Amino acid sequence: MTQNALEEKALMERIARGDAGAFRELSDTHLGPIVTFATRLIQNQAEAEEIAQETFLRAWQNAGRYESKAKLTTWLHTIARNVAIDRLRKKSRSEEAFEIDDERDLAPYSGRPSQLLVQKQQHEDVKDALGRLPERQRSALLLCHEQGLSNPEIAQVLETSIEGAESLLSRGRRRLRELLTGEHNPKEPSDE
Amino acid sequence: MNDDERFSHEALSRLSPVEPSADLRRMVAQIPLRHPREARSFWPFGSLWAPSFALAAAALLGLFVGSQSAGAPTTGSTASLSSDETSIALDDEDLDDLIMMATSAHFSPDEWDLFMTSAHNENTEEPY
Repeated sequence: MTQNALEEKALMERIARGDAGAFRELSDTHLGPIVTFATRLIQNQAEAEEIAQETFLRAWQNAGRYESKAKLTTWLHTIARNVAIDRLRKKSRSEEAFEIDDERDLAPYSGRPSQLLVQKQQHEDVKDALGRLPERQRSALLLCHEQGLSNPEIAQVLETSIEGAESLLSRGRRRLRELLTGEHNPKEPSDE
Repeated sequence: MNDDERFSHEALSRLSPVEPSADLRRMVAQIPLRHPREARSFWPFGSLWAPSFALAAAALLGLFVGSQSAGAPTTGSTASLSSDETSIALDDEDLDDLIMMATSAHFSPDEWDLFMTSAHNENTEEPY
């Protein structure tokens, strides 16, 4: 077990014993990434903050169940994604509701990605394109490129195999590029 | 890193992170106060119901067995296991049952007598 894993395990043991200082340490480190992930995932910061709050409440209540087999960040992202999915289901919005809506239009751009990012109000376009990806592809991309998780960790969060995570990443990347550059591949399946 | 991967990485890594609001920070910081840990009980095995139920069941079984033994007839050939303070009368069936329970074997009364005799002889031999 690595030094980092030992430290995370010790931190969670302190939290399990009711150590509020340890919990503060956890939230100081991970609240920002979790809010960012949830915001990108559901495209709404107010709801994302509720999801983050619920995530940390569950972490507090279930700290004793934390197993150091998974990195702490993987564990927290798994909780956050589950909370987000629960909320979406409660709102009777299935994951299909987040499938790509081809009626929406993103102006294509023919040029290098770096030029695109400069010319097209890059943040809004990328967020818009992300919102048009199926939820699992979006989660995979966010976990990989924004949160820095490895493929096995992404597989854990998405409860799939490593090959499944790699497939989601591959299709998500291709689709994201298509959406931002206007290229279109009609053979592309919608999800998994 | 292929083109799609490079493109996605470039696009997503340029998104600025979302800062948690002050309200969220405050609410999260209050979680330990709003949801304090339950005080640890003296009992380390979770619910008290399971061990209580087990004890009650054992007591009931003891009462039942005791009442059956008290009312059982002691006629026929008997053996007596005695200690300084207690004496229990056992008939042949009880002995058979006890032997079967202890050894998972069945002895006839003659075999049992032989066994008891040899055991008695062993116990009365002088120590070295």
